[in-house]
Amino acid sequence: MDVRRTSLHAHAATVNRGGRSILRGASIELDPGEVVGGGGPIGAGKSTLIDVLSAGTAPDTGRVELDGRSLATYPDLERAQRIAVLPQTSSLAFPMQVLDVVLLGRLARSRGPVRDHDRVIAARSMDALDVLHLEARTYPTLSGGEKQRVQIARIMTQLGEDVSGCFVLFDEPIAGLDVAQQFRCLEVARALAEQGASVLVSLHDLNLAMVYTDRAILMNRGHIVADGSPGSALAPNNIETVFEVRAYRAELSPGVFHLVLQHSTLDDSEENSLSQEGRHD
Amino acid sequence: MNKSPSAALDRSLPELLETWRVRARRNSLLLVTTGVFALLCTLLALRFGAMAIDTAAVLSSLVKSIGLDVGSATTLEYEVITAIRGPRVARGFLVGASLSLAGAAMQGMFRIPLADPGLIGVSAGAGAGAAAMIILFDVAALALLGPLAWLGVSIAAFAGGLGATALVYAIGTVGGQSRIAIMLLAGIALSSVVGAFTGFLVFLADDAQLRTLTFWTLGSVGDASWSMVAVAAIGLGLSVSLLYPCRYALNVWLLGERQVHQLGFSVRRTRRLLIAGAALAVSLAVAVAGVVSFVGLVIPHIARLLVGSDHERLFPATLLLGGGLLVLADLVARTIAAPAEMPLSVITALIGGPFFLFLIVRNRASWM
Repeated sequence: MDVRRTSLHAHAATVNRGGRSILRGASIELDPGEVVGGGGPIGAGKSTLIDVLSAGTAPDTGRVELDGRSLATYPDLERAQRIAVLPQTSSLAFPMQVLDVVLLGRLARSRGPVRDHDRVIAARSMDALDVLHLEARTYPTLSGGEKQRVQIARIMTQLGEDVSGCFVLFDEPIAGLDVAQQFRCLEVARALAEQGASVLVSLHDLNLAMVYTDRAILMNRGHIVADGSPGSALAPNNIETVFEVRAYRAELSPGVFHLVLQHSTLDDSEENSLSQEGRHD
Repeated sequence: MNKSPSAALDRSLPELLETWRVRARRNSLLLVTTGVFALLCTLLALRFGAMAIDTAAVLSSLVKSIGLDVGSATTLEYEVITAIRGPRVARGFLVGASLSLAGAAMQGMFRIPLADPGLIGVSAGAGAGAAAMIILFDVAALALLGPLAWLGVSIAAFAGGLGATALVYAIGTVGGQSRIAIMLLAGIALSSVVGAFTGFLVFLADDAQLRTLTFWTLGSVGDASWSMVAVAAIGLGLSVSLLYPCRYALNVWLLGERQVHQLGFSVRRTRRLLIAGAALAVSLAVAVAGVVSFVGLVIPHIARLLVGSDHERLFPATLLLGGGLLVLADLVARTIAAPAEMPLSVITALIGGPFFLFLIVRNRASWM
């Protein structure tokens, strides 16, 4: 590549597991300042895509590049300072204090005794996620939402004070959170993008994807089947094809759309009476 | 989330940092305390026994042994300290330190606060290796070989322990996350297979071999020689040099393998170091003292209560506490019914078993 700019780019990445392809020729480019939403059925390849983009899995064919350079050749530490992942599960059965969990993030930048500089970054991250008051608590005693926020604070400590040029990949971050916590989590994703980071969020709630993302991709059976503005990628006809449900776009107020999803076997007489923009077939 | 750091945070930051610095200093101080504790246990164990030797004589004997002739120790006292009690205490300390260190490493590696080399079949694997060496190659011949024989038994134990650790890890880890139930069940299965193998060896053994084997499986640190101590010390040293570099990665490891990779550590390298280091420590302890149960489970828990879960402090704290407490347990074993000696495992199991039950009852909601 001749052009060197900040981007994370997968080119036709394919991953095979146990004789079948769980990611098939997926190409995607993540750019600074935008939140990309990833939708698709369970097993569509969203987690695998995140794994490939963070060098957790090397693609069997195709390649992944960070700033035009093969991700596989990046030194582990340099990569860790640029790309952070919030995995679906973070089990921790040990009585570790919240501060110590957040401070784990510093290990991508400094290994050795904890310095005040590390503590300041951890404090800022915890403050931003409203978990600073929990710093002395024992991690396993936190609620699901609190644990999630602590993990995000850990990731922010990993990337350091300046997140511009960094890539943050959230793997279904709002599963298990209540509605208010879901909003708060996605606000964090937005704020990271506003500070210059590039954010990929896999989401099951397509309406949240419509509201909180700048761009959306739709995945099915290992393929990226749509990539574009949330409105076009998550258009009702795309959703009907991928999820095999009925989808309508309702206009709640001028310019504010909401996806209404129905089981595909319901007949037309049971359709809701919301003002409809019409079915897209 | 605020785009700029909040003003309220900036005001409270200096105070917060001071609180955190004080907390870190307190943890370091507690680590020093475990060192002092280990030293006191050692002195106590050297002082008491079949023959009472006062503290001044113990100290002067120790000084004399490194070539400085000061103080009041008689020749007899000097001989008892350097030839009988010294190696015994050193062996006990090394066995306790190795088992505890291995316990801490395995609990972290398997992400199970319940893990113990004995429970997941690693001690049994190391035991079978050592038993095979003792019986197939005949004790009498081993006795002639002296220090070399201990090296042979240790290597055989290491082979058994390493195989068991790697196997249990491979079975009990699914997608980078540990499955507690699977791991413990695999440990039970492994222990019974290995038990059958050891049983077969017993069937092959003659009377003299059987006696050696029986005493050895009950665990003992009596009849120590300095050559045995040297083997144990080298083993512990090697194990520490494998495990201590993993201290940061192991902290992240508690969250899952994926997180280890994401923070820029090599998962494969860390895994290899942890398995080899933990297996080495267990195997050496088993080779030198037989199977001493529950030490690897209990000591890391006590250490965690004192200095927290950070392995940078947990490793040294566990090592020092484990050494000190085993020396103390051995002191009880040899003085409680003197001149007879109680097997060491009777004492460690009597304390460790109920402690294990207590842990299960307290945590049964959150585990499994």
